[in-house]
Amino acid sequence: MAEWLGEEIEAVEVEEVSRGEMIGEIDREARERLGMSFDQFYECYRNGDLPDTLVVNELVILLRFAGLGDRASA
Amino acid sequence: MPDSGTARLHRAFGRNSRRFAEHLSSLLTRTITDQPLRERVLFDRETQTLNALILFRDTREVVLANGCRIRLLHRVTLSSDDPAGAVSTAEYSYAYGFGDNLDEGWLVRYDYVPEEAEFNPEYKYPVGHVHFNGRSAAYEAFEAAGTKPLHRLHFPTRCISLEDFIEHLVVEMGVPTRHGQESALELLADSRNKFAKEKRTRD
Repeated sequence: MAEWLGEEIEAVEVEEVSRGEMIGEIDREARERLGMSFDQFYECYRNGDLPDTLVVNELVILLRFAGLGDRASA
Repeated sequence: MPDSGTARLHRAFGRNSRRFAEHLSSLLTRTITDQPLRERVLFDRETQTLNALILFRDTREVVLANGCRIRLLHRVTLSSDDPAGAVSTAEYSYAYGFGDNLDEGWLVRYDYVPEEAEFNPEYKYPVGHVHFNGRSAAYEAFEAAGTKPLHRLHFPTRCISLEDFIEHLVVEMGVPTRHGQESALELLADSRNKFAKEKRTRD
């Protein structure tokens, strides 16, 4: 058990991941759910061409988590 | 290999982000689901940034006892102004909906994107906003320059906490609670008050 603000709570699983692993995951998700590869997805992201949908929003969060969210330096 | 100061900061961030993930997970498992959250941590050597992403452990989305589906992604980073490794929310997205596939059947999505608002000069929407995946015949008939589909509008809102999100599901969507509605709402109110007083690092 862990503690938060004086109360006992359940511990969570923690996993360390790398940027490469995240790119692989985004590639799988983008192919399955949007029918595009990571490179295609990333290109659309950089160009601001992605529609604002639940799937896209989720994959963009993964992209930012992987440290690839900065359009200017992409 | 990071120097000892950096290593200490990484450890402190790890502790703090894990505690925060445990807090969020506990809110869910004490109220509306037995599905806990997990945390993924990434240290980006290129930009020397630490990130943690909090999400459900086993599934992309969780089906609640009345069939309502929820999805949660919450990303935290190291607070730039705190050498003790405090964490700040970089962004989150809490969504719910119905049907077999939330990608299609989502109804509401709460987004809070302080990092995007701070660092992307082209970002022009509210830091906290709601997307509503519904239809309005009147809106669709409204033809003005720049109008876009209803679900793409960013309706402004204050920061909606996970406590607020769960409370909404319980009160308005009739989501059954694991240990009684009254105690769930009490727990959420208590947590919301404690967090506002003791832990919040950003408005």
